[in-house]
Amino acid sequence: MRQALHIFKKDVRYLWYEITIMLVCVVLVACNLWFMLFMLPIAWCYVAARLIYAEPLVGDRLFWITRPYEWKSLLAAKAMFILAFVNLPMIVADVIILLRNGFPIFENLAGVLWHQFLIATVFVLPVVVFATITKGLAQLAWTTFLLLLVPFFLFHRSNTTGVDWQGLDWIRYSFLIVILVLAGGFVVLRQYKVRRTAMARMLALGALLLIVLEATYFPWGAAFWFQSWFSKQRIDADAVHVAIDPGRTMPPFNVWPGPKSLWFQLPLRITGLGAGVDTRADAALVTVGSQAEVVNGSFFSDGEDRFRLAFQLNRSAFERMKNEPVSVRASLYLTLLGNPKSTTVPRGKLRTRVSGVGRCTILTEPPLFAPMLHCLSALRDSSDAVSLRPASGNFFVIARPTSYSPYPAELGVSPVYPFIHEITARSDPLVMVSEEALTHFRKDAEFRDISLANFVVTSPRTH
Amino acid sequence: MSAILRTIDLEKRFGGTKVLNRLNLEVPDGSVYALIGPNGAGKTTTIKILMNILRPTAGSAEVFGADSRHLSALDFTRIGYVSENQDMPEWMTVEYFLAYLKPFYPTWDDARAEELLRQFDLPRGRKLRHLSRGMRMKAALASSLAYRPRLMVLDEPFTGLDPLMRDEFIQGLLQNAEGLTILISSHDLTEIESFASHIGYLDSGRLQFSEEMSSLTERFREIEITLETSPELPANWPANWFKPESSAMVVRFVETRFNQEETFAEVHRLFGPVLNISAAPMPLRTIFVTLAKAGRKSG
Repeated sequence: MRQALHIFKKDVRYLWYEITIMLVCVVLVACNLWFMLFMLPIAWCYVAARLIYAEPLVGDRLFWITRPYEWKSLLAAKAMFILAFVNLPMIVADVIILLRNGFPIFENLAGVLWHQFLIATVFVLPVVVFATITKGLAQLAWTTFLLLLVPFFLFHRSNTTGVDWQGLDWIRYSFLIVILVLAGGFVVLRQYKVRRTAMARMLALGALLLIVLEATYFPWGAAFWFQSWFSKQRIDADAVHVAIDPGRTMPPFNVWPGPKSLWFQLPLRITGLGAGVDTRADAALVTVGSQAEVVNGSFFSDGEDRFRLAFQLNRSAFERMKNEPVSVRASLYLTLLGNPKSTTVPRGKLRTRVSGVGRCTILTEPPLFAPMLHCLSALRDSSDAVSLRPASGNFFVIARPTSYSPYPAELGVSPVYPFIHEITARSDPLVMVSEEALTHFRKDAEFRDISLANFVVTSPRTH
Repeated sequence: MSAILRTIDLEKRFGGTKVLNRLNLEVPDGSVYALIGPNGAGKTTTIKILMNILRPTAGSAEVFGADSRHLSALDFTRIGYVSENQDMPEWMTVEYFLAYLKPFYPTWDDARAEELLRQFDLPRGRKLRHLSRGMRMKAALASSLAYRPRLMVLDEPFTGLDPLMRDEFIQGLLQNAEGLTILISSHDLTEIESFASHIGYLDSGRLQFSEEMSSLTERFREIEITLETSPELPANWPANWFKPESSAMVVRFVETRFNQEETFAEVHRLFGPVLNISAAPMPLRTIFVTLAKAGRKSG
């Protein structure tokens, strides 16, 4: 421990200039200068790299390896430095920002600590891993640039189904973090212990490949299945029935059909969901006829047990199938929301606490053209669905839960997450209704003998 | 004397190139062992394996009787290592450099460190990056002598140093060499000759010989024979006679196993009556050049 402290003090002396800049960045973040949110991770990464290169691990000209350094002390010194100059200032900044925005510290303490874990593992650890297997900043920069091209390319290619990951993203990123911590931690420990760079590089490359594959090809359906294990209530999916509701007049669906595709709307009636719940679909995958292509549809609730399933189909496929009855298969990934809590949000600067969301207000001051609902969540996106009930007019939903994550914090630099929604003047004052996600389940349904021509959405232009 | 450093059938490959080829080397305790050899002979690689900077491909290296791959922090408290191509913490001042190293060594001697600073005339407040090459080497040596190590390993320490600086470096080293075993690799044979007790000649990754300096200089002689007639070099030229030259009535060669009685008898046997024979001692540098050229020819 004495040696670790001694090396730590040396590193502080060596990097005092970088430490100062980093602390200034943190102070600016705490002072609400949001543009610094982009600078701070860069500062963390730079300082972490410089810290490792103070006692580099690659090469055969290293001064320190023929000195009586204990590898555990050296590693402990580096960890102490990260804690002292990355995490500790960020804890203080988190506390200041949370207090300034009216969030009590005690109930967000776990989130603040989890936030530090995420910063250390997601921002700092990858840089530390690469720094332990490269010779210097130039090599690190090139390696990082080249390696980041691969995930960028694959991520770009992967988003072809159009399924929205938003609420379930935490599952994908949990696995990423597990791989990162295990593989990254192993590489760092091994490099400090035995300095076998060639093998460490292979390991790091393997881990990176695993991360890329996981991030790119992790099946959304598997993530939803995983999410269903976190359901607060269980539901018997077999007791839920989905059927076409043929006679219903549907509200207009304002979409412009493209030159090569058409939209369709199926009116559905879903029973067996239970009373007092609100139903949302995280995805609605639709297969029409015998075509292999699965399209992601849109799912709407029209109140009570009435729903709509909208999907897009290319014109040539429609032309083939329009004169004969076809089967439409739908896989509905449903989330039931419940336990509604209502909060009246008045106009003004004082924020009102809204359960499951954060602290909200209605902003009306110029330069805003319309009143804005402005909410801030502490350390993570809102866990609840948000609906608005204006003073006059209908109840309407503006957001489903942004994240189903059970973690008390999410990855980000700032500890507050804004949520903004434009509201009409008559909505002021308004009642916000937040509902928590109770159940996640998948329901497959098949609708036979459907004449697609009966459900095509006509263009507003053609009316 | 027991060996403080030892390599056993040591091999090192870099890709397809074999740099060390079953090297067996022993550095006796208390000796000043000079490892010499042409460029690329494997001297630095041997030292780096001994210091656990590189790993051997096969065979093993031992320091203080333990495998060099398992050298611990405790072992390094007894080892000083100074290399011409070592990256130093250049942002440190000389004074801070020594102050920083002090807590790592239980045997650190402040008085000795002060004395070394004075002796080497090192500017305390100057950063290592602003020191000349010679001054940096002296700073490295001072930082390695201040804790009274048992073993000092010096890899090409004289490279790029002017004669005055070399002299100061050697003086500093020898004045603090009490109880110290030194392994030094160098091309500077004139300097080596002045203080090495043992010498090892490494070529193409193999140790060609390893012996005491006195024995080496005893067995190498430059022989000059003056004959009555213009000579013709005999076909059965002895293998231990290197670099034969003949001009007019004189024959010269280097005897690598000199024994006055036997060498002179062999000369008489091969050349018959001679007018004069002289056997001149050779400086280490000339021995090295002779061996290197012979090695190159045979290679």
